[in-house]
Amino acid sequence: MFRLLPRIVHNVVQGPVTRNFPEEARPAFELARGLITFEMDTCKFCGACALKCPADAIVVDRAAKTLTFEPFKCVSCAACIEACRFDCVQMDCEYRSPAEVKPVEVYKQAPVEPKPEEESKAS
Amino acid sequence: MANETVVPFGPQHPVLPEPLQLKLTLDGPNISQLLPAFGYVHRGIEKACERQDYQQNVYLVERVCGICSSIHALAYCLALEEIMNLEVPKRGTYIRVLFSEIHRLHSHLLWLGLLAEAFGFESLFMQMWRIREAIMDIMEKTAGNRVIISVSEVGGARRDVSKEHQAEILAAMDKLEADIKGVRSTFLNDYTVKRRTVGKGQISAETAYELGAVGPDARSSGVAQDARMTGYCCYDEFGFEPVIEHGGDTHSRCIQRLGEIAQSIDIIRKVIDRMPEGEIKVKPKGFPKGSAIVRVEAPRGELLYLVEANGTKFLERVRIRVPTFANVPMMVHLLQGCEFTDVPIVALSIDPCLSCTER
Repeated sequence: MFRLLPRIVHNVVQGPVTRNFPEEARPAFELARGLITFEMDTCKFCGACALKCPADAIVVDRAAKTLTFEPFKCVSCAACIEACRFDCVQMDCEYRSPAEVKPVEVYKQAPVEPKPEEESKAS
Repeated sequence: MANETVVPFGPQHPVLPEPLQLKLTLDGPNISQLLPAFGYVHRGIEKACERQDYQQNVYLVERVCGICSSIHALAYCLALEEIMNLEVPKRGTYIRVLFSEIHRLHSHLLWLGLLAEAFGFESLFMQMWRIREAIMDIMEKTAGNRVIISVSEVGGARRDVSKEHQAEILAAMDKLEADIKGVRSTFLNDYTVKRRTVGKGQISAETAYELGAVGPDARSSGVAQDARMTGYCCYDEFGFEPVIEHGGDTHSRCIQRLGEIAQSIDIIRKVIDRMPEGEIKVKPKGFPKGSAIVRVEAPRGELLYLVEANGTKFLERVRIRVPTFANVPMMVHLLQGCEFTDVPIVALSIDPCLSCTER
């Protein structure tokens, strides 16, 4: 026990190393993996992201021009980002928030007329 | 007349990181017989590998085990690169080695903490895991995740490590060395720790070799075997020599892993010092056809991957032989005749990873 005494004294003097979460939250690291979002302006609905996703979290319907994404299946591996040739997929450094019901996000592309992009969420 | 009781150890037990059942037949205070039962964490990963294409399988294979995940991905990628004749650029190989050694550090620190908890020394357990948090932060800063770091893909490394991150890793290694120095002598010299570990689970080098033990469990008995000696992934450039102890008991396994921590820190420093410039990956072309066997050194021992490909993007077979699978006969041997109170420590001392074993 006495061998740990210098360590114990050091810890008492230094104070706690734990953070008082959630009052004090550490900002996420820049390169950390997190929530995936889609930018639909340039999406061509080629389905490359859906093909490469190992968790089958993305379903692309080319005819209906919709992209369905289930964030709770996603493992934030970024395979979709590497697969997309049109830079439609982004990954945030914050992880997805917890939810009481698993959401299913349906992304639609805006029509050709210049309107603000529509995005509907169905749970 | 023998006084026999059958006691189930597990599948849930505070010392076990994953579920394992041992049916222990007690003869007085000693174990006369034991019957291990596996299968609590079986997820069918080898079968699932046949359903996805060979590049998606990297993400699947990483999740065989949380503690040695990047080594599984590395072995799989090496097997596929051998089949497809891909030459990974040197910088990509160095990044893979860097993260393999960082992963080894986190695994050994985790085990040391669990061992301390197994004999009830919870403060030491918390100290080791607090030290380990520095490694988890480094992995999250550079590779993106704390546990499943996803740095290997077929063809090379997925992410580059910038100069700032390299400097941060070196600073973390310096701090880690200082922190380990503070707690090392407790593991090695403390009276209560020695009472619970010295002489427990003793095995000789010959028996360990005959039972097929691999990894730190074999090396702590004096068997000089380490898959890194084969020189995969440029390990021969770092002058790698395995860390060997000769005691063969739990205390020796503890010392051996502390030695491996120091060795990993040394390798990480060499890798960063000699990191070459250049590309980190090559793009695989076409589909794999053929088969390959690859052996790498996971934190728990030698990990073997057999990959068979049939010319399509789906693989024919992925067979994973994990180090704990090879160490189970050794564990059964150690526990025969052991005292009942020593069972948790001896079972934990081989560093069992059941999610690896049952895939």
